[in-house]
Amino acid sequence: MNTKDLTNLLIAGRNADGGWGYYRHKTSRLEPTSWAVLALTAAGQDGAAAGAGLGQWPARAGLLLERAGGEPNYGFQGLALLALHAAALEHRAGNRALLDALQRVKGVALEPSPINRQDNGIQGWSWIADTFSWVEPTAWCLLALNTCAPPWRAQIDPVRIRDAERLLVDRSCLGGGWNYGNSNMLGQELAPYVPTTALTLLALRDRRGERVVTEGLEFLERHATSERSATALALASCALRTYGRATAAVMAALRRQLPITAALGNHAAVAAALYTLSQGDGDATF
Amino acid sequence: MATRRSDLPLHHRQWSRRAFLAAISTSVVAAACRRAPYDASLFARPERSPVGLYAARDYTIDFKELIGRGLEDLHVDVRGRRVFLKPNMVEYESNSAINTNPLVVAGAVLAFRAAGAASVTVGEGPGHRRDMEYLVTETGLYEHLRENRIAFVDLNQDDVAEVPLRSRFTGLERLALPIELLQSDFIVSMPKLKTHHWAGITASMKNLFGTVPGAVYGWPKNILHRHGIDNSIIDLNATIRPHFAIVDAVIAMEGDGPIMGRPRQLGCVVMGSDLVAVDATSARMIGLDPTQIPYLSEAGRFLGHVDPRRIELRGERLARFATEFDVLDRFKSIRLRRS
Repeated sequence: MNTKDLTNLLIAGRNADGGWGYYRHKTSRLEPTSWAVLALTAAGQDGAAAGAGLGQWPARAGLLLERAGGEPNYGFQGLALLALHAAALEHRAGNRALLDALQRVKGVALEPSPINRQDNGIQGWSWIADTFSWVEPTAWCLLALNTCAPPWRAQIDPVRIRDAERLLVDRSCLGGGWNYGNSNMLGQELAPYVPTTALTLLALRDRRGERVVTEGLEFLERHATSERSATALALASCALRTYGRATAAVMAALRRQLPITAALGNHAAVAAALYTLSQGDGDATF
Repeated sequence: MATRRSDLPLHHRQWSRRAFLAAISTSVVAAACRRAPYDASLFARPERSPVGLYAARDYTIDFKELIGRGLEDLHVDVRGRRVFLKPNMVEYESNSAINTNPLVVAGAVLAFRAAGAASVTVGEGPGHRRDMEYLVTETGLYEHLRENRIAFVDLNQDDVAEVPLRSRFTGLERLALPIELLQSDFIVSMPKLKTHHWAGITASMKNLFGTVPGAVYGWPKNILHRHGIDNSIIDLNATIRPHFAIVDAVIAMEGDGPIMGRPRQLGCVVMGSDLVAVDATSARMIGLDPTQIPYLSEAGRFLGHVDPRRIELRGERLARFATEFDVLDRFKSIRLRRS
């Protein structure tokens, strides 16, 4: 299994509307479509062709809709912006409109709670409207703002950047790394995970050297190969490369995992693997 | 996890045990009092519900044979039917008892195939971890999927269809549910038996949280917590109406479940078509009074039987497995008083 095989898997799994479902023959969804555009572009395919479906993706008031129904997913919109940026594509509503919409939405603020030790008032991004902010959507959206906004930097509200960073710092686990949500619950310290830690490190790459970043990076270096999945290993490799750390072991683990990834056939996971394997040491991630 | 404070189930906001129990009971009952939350004519129950208890000393036994025996004892006919198995896969930690053991899942697949099922599909949609490839790889389930050519569906990411809810404890009218689940015609809930720090116990009914698609509702499926865990459990079960349950209680979890608790050997598999009766029996087995567990108590009014006089035990006697699980302090008052 190599990058050519993964590319062929993705191309074969593409829907007639130019998008990708999570699995073959399923309705096109934003997350796998965005990952596929990122991956095929990184693998040398024509970005405009790969991203045609994403460029025409249905949107309302700047928020990308799920073709399968349901509310807009903010985390996936952050990922979609990264894909449009990587493929040098403009969404039909305008990438600036998507960024503006992403700035307008936020997770709800909560009162302090006795069930855990954290600042529930910080507003990052939730997965969907009217819910609490979580690490993953906040990290994807922060990464999107930092990566895609430079031409419009003056229009980006620095409070959103600051609050997103505050939230990620606030949610870091004792000893380093990030769980998907809280660092503690009902008096128990919760464990950090590889993919959420890697993603958060990518989102906080402008704050390298700070304690939580250093601790998170140490956790990731120790545990990068401990979670066997293409997504976890791919994100871990991207984060380690971004921070100038060795990736040979995690890339080898990713290659070993590929038969399972391909057999399960999840397009987002296949694309995450292809994206990472297609990048050279000097390439910027996202 | 965290949710909007006003969205939290009542028991998140009440900390004395008495207040907690009173509040959570009120939350279910209040929903029932506002208007009829279900049409009783849609929920015919048998006079008595058979529940099978089968000894499994550890995971080396032949689960195809054991589950096949249960299907026969309980007169389950799946010939020509599309069977969907929903195990409980939440998180992976070695030597933990968080997930339904893959050997039980694989045994069930083989047993249903041998019983004449047209197809058997396995699917799960974790509310905690959303990386399904990680879970099926690390738990070892992938090897069984591969060896036995078993179809697997990530319920978080499947295509969905909106369905009307058949009861309204949550106040919700509709929910999007996975197509693969809806298109099957014999749904089997296959949980791990665990204590649960919000719901008291998690078994076949609570296991249905994993059918709600995260790609539509986000993680950790806040919509269910916002409308009350007990209410959501009842509405999901009333709507999906699983046909059968197989509870992995070979090694269960006590203490601070469903993730942080300790493994506890019970050596049992519980099976039955009435999920309320299966879970009520499982609760009694670990020393908890199901009538004091709000969602079981309420479900016992229309979905199935909690009353032991309405439950017909088959296989082993309950006394063989009956024990007292360690529970969090706030659940100690709902311990069964054994005579």
